[in-house]
Amino acid sequence: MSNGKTALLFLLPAILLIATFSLYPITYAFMLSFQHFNVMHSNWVGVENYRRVLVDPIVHRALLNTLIYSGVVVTSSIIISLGLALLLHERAQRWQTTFKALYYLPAQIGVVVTAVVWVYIFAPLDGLLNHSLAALHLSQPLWLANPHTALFAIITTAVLGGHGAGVILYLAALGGIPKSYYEAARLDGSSGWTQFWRITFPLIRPTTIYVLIIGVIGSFQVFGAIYLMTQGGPQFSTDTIVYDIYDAFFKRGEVGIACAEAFLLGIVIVTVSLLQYRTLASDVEY
Amino acid sequence: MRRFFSHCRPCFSRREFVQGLCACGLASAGLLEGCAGSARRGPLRVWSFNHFEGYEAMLQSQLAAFRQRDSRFALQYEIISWAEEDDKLTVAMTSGHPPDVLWGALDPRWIATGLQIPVDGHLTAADRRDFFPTALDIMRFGDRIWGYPLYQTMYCMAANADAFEAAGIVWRKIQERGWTWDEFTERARSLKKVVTYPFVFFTRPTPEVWSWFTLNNGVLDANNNGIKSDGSFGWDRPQVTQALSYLRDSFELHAIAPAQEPAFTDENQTDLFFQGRAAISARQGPYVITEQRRIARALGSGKQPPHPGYQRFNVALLPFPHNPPAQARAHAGGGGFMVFRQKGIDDSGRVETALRLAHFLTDSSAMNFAAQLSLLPSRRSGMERFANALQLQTPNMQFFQRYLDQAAPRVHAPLDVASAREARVAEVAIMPAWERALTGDATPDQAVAAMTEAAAGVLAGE
Repeated sequence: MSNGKTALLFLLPAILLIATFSLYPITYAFMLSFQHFNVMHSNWVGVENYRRVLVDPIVHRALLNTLIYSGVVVTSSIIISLGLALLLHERAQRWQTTFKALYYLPAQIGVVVTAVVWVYIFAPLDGLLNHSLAALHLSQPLWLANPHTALFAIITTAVLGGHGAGVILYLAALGGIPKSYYEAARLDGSSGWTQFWRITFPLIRPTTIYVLIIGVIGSFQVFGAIYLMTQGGPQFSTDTIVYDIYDAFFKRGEVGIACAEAFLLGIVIVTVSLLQYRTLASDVEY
Repeated sequence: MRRFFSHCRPCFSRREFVQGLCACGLASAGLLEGCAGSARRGPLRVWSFNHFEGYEAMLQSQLAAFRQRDSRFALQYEIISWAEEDDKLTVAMTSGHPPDVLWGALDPRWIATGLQIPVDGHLTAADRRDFFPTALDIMRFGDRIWGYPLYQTMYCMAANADAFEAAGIVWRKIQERGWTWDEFTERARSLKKVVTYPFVFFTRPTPEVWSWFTLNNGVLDANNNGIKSDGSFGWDRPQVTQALSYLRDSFELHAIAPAQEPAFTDENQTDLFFQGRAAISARQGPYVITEQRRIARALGSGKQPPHPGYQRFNVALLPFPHNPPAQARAHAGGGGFMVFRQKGIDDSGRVETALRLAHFLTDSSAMNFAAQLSLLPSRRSGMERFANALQLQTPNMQFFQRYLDQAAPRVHAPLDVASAREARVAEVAIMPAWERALTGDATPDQAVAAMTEAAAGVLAGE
């Protein structure tokens, strides 16, 4: 057997898996996005599904919620992860390892478990949060039932939840900065703040871009917490694009709309990622 | 390795690679379609739920008995969970590969797929005499009957009869005469004085509560989502606003029920009731009698109750409160077995066998299902056969039979509205109005006005 055929043979399982579970569904979903779907007789409707998605005020609300969620969660995640990494970086190796494991642990817990715990924390009757507020004689909001607090509550669960991966990435990046840069800066009399902005931050920029892009892609696809905690309510205050796609498919049976919305989300994510990359990565050396 | 790949690189161009990938995609599509096709030619699939302890064994014996009569198709059953019901069925229906026989309540979405088989042409004259008209009506959509009913029921309220008696409330009178909204508020206040429950009336606070009170305020020509039979929106009138105002007051001013909270589920509603922490629970059905018997049996024999904290007390079934001159009403409901064809396979033998199986699963001996849950059987013969098990002479079951006679007429929207736009009306018009009124973001008048406008937009196809 020639080398080419051998290579093809090795590649075939991966190609088959990609073709079956990615290429075929994506192509099929793309075709469905131009149809009014019925399992027995679908109709071709052109770009009508895309038009309906683009003019739907609920989708606009979902997009706004997604942007708010993504903006707050990703920004705070970067700040908190970097802050924790800076605190840990100067510590002894065994402490670094211990804290890395502790911070990474929540990432290993499924979103269902986390969401259920948070539902109990936010519960209006016996919830930990309202119980504590009652003990302090403070008012006890209906966290997940009030449209003014529900998105904030969901964001809180994400912000307090997962920084493990960010901390590990930043610690690795910080470890890669030569100590001589800081020694030279100290000899020149620069403050810690100046060292951070002039040395640390520019040199960990590739990591920041990576965390940012991965964070935005992940947060744009938030679903589990919304599904389990609020189902997009109250008054669509926690409706996000991916939850809306689920809603269109499973609750309303609008398969074409769901597919159109999914493709529009894909376009938004690719555009935002490219913009971030072009804006921030112009002078990054890899 | 590097050398190996340097040799490989010229073997196929990028274009050839993409073409190969597409070919693999097409081959995979064919493979998947082939697998689905072979599955369709496989055994008859029956989906049901875990209704009560011992149900699975009962279903197994029913299927074995049917197989002895008709061995053309192997039978395969699956007990699916309530939590996965909607998503799992949506996927099955969308794929064109639903179960051949499904236990459930009628759902216009499944009728709209074109896969569901109407059964009216298969009902014999004996069937038509034996099934109660209410039971057949439960499975009717438009002018067709879309499944064989197994039982008939109505949602009602369940009360802790011991708590009522401690508060000096004669619950049997409520069963006989019903209670008005004012009486309901007054009784709830009396209950608050003598019991230490956090809630007098505990309900899962969804717009469904609103639909019960709207129905009991005389709005009989619209369904639970406010849609009339001509497809227009019927919750645009003062009785609807009045029901919302009453509920908002009950929730907020009288602190009778808990404020809205999405975290409340049917499960914790039931838990709070059986733990004795809520004096009235809705919605419930006569199955609470069975559950209370189970709790009493466990506690009486010194065992742990079915769930932590469950207590033994007497249960009373009560009607929803009404606002005169409107009378106490509720919608009758129930479940049964429905039959589906498979997409892309034209096998009348398969469909006929599935129809016979569904019929077999709802014959008079199958009415044991209803007896196990204190529900009323769909067949007269079943009612007679299981009269003792159903304890039809008890005050609760006597009340329930009378209550079923007061069932509100069923209102169905046209299929295109019922199968798609009705859910959207509930989502973008009714739910926000309910939430805004309860959280104080809008008065009931404002909420209903906004709801009417939003519903009109959805129904107009905007």
